[in-house]
Amino acid sequence: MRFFRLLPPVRLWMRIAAMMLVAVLAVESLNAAALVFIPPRLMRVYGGHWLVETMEKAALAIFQADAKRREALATGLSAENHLQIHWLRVQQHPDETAPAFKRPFPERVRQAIESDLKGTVSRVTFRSLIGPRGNQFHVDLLFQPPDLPSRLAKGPLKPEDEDIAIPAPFEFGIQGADGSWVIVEPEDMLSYRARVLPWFITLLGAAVAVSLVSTFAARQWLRPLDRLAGAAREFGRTRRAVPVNTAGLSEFKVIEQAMNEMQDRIKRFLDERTHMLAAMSHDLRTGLTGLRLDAEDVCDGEAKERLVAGMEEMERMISATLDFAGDELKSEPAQAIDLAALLISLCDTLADRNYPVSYSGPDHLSAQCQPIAIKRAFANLIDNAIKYGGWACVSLSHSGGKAAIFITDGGPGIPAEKAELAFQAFRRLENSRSRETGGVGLGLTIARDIIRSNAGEIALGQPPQEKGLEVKVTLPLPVANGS
Amino acid sequence: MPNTPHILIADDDRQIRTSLARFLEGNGFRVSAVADGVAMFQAMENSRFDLIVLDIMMPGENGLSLCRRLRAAGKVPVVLLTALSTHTDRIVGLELGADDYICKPFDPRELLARIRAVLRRTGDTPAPEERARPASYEFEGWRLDVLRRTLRNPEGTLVELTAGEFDLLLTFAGHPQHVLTRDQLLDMTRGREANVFDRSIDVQVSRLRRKIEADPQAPVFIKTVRSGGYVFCAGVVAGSQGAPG
Repeated sequence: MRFFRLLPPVRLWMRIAAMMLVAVLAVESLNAAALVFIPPRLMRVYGGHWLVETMEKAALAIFQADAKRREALATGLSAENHLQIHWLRVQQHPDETAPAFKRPFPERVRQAIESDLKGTVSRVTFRSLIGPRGNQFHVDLLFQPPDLPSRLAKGPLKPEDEDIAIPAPFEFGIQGADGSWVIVEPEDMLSYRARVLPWFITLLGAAVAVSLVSTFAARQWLRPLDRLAGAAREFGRTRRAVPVNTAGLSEFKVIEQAMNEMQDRIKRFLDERTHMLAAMSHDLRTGLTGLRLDAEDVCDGEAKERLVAGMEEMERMISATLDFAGDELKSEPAQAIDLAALLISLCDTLADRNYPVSYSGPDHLSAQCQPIAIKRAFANLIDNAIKYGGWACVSLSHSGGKAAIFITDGGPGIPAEKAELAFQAFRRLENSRSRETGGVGLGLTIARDIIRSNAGEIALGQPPQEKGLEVKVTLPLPVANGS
Repeated sequence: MPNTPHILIADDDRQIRTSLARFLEGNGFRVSAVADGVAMFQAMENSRFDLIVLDIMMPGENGLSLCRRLRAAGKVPVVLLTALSTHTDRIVGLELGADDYICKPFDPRELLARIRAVLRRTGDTPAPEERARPASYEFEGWRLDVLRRTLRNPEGTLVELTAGEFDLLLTFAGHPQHVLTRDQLLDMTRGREANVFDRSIDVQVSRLRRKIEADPQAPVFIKTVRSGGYVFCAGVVAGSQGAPG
């Protein structure tokens, strides 16, 4: 990994070319290694004179021996002569029905034996196992150059003749006078499987080598993309700039720079906005404080109450707007909170102020949330219920790793088609923007923002029987809470 | 009037200075007002103040830094005024040694109540080290953070309390193993701010039990004393002032 970082930034095509090169080199060196470590298949060739002499001796020895000893004798002769010699009691040559191919050289051997042992044996057969479709076609060609038929002597191989080569595999059959057979084959050659296995191992090795090289390289190159995605996600969640270092490809360097610049710009913009909001908040609140103090002086009685109520309303609106626009609630870290205690406290506080609010559900339920934000969300929802529905019924239940909170009221409700509208910022469903019921239309918006950023969901619906509004909030629970 | 408390207001907003001074004077205090930290320390050299109402956001040295210097210098109680509702500000202010805080815009009578409460609290025990309240209490694994006004159960889960419940539990934690009558409890819990909506002590106690007792019907922390009141039976360990909570 370090190795790649030490390289100067290169273009993607260079890396692809380099990787192909490495892969090809790996395969080729594997092949070379295979040549060294896996011995090539031996081609076995027997000399004609030797073969004639050996087979004749073997056949005579076997046919002269006692029938009981013939098999053992054949085995012994096999080991001495690097041949497989069998004795078969049967009258018919065992493989006589199989296709046989006449070959000029072995035919001379066959004829030699036939003529030498005339009288002792009744038949000599030959079958070459090298066929046109056999696995050793090339050997066949090698020993029968089709353009040189004139050079090939014919007739039984005589001791004074030039020696000839008989390539394995082959099968000579010598039938004795009693009808039994002596079968002569070359020593066991490598089986088909034994011949295929090295090839297969080499192929497998090549495949593994190429996969390793390409996987390693591709992952190495694509890791910066993962880091980019992670940084983007992280930035979206925390709004803290996460410098990206793609280390390597110049194609990625461009994205990296763009990404880092974008983060910086957004961060600056957010910081400016935060400062602006703080300044606005300070100035508006300071102004209101002065007004509030003056209200103590200038008037008394009903006029003052109206004035104070108006200022309080204004303060609430400022707070709601700043909550909505500000970052404070969003950046709060999540921690374990007792959701039930939170809802009970909210309900009790309102009930103490003579608002008709009730809670039903467990006394304790632990959840992972942003404490102040989630309190604000539920306070908004319950306030809304009281404001538009006259009363609020809060219920908490949990099942399947989720907490479900229902906030029901007795108001006119919100028709399903207007539910999405109700969540939009600065939108109130009463047609006039009358201030009679208070608020700037941010309660639901803020609540949904908070609940969503706590991995929860919120939906508006209708209570099963009565008319009114039922707000359903679901929040995920930690695993341990499943009971 | 030598017994009239003398209050210093430090706020950069002229309207607030004059209006607040007029309001507090109208309620029987002597009041001086300054616009920044430099003027505040000058004023303090010339006369003795019983309490300083300090705005956090001021030009020059801000209120938090001034608060730290005031605390280092002496024993004048401080009530912080903050125009930001950020919770960290309040906690930092309290950790720096402010005696109370209030958010702008405030109900003037609430500020009045808090000033009186702070004066009452600090008046009896003039030495600051004796006055120092613990920053936290721990009992049976539960942790009560006085500055942040939070309660955590032994598993570390935040358990929300209403303002009344918190003050009640704070009072209990400050007087473990003492039988407290309903009147005593009422007095002590209203020290911070009078709340006309506060329910009776019995209601508050039963709500508190629901939140901290394993079985509210058979309480082990807050026990009822027949014909007396309540007693907090848990062993309480007080954390030091300013300890990170």
